[in-house]
Amino acid sequence: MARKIVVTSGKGGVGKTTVCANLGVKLANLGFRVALIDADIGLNNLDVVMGIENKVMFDMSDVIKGRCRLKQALVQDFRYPTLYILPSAQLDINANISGKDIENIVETLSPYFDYILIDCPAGVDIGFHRAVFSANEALIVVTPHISSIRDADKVLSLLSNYPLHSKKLIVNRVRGDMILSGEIISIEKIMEILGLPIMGVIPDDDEISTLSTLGAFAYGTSGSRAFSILAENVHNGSKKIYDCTYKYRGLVGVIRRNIKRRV
Amino acid sequence: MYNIAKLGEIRLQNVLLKDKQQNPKVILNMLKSDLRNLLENYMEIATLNADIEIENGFYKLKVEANARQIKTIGTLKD
Ligand SMILES: Nc1ncnc2c1ncn2[C@@H]1O[C@H](COP(=O)(O)OP(=O)(O)OP(=O)(O)O)[C@@H](O)[C@H]1O
Ligand SMILES: [Mg+2]
Repeated sequence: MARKIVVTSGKGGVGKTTVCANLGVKLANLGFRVALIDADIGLNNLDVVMGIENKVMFDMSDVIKGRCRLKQALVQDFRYPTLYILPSAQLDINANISGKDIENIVETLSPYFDYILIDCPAGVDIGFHRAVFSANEALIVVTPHISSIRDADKVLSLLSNYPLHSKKLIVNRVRGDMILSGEIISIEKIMEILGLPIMGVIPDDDEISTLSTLGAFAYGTSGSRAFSILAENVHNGSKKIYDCTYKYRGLVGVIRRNIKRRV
Repeated sequence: MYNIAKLGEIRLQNVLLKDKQQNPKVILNMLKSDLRNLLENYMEIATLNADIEIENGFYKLKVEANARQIKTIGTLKD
């Protein structure tokens, strides 16, 4: 049976889709069978981030409305044979998809996968509830900004209505230079305020956004290393934290910090 | 040194506090009614007051109930 993990945040644009895609890739890289479900109906992006948008023939609404079989809608990743993506409804945005519909899909997939990652839309309305409904674990993505943390707090109060056995935090877009200069709220403080254990820390890495435009992943970059650690933590419960500040320590680090400040 | 992170923390804690203050009003009456039903399984409640305060980012629930009688074990409902 698969672990069913929803990736959510409340606030838009904080990196849910990026986390889903990169975590999925890293788990598949470890040899696990992974299904990524795009539950962001109408504003779907997971297919584009994964670079498979041209391979999409059917989507979630086709499956739910019986216009195709689930197997036909799943798109296999071209880099990792154990990684599959279920695109969200693209045209049929008023398809009246319910949480129960997504749960049926998740339950059907569950025996064939180790991980099912559900990419949740922004906001706290029906789309959020639909995405959370079938999960039994949640990863809450925040950036170290007040508005993002505030929305995560609201999401947490909504998540308490669901029987999730694990809720953990991912702090995304962390700038090591700003941590060192005391300009952003620290990871420890975010954990303390939200009362959540941490699952991973992802640095702000220009290459993540550049490469995701190309439908590719950040190999060999700091983002890539941070996602590898995240995948390990997710899988074996380790508590390793990627150190976003290491690049900015020492003499070279100080030069880097000054350059970063000027751009 | 002028610490921006510290300033951010304080602002964050203030907005979270304001958000938290919105919730109890809605839920308190429901909670009181549920609590009364629950407690009445065990005792005859004369008065019940409940209040929610916020302390260090936590909701602190204060319940005060006065009961005339405590029910005898054996007469309790299943
Ligand atoms: N760690 C990072 N470093 C640099 N850029 C990032 C990082 N994480 C995400 N981004 C960029 O931020 C943008 C928003 O990311 P993403 O689409 O994953 O957010 P989202 O939470 O899924 O948004 P939405 O709420 O609209 O679904 C993208 O352009 C992405 O490439
Ligand atoms: Mg998204």
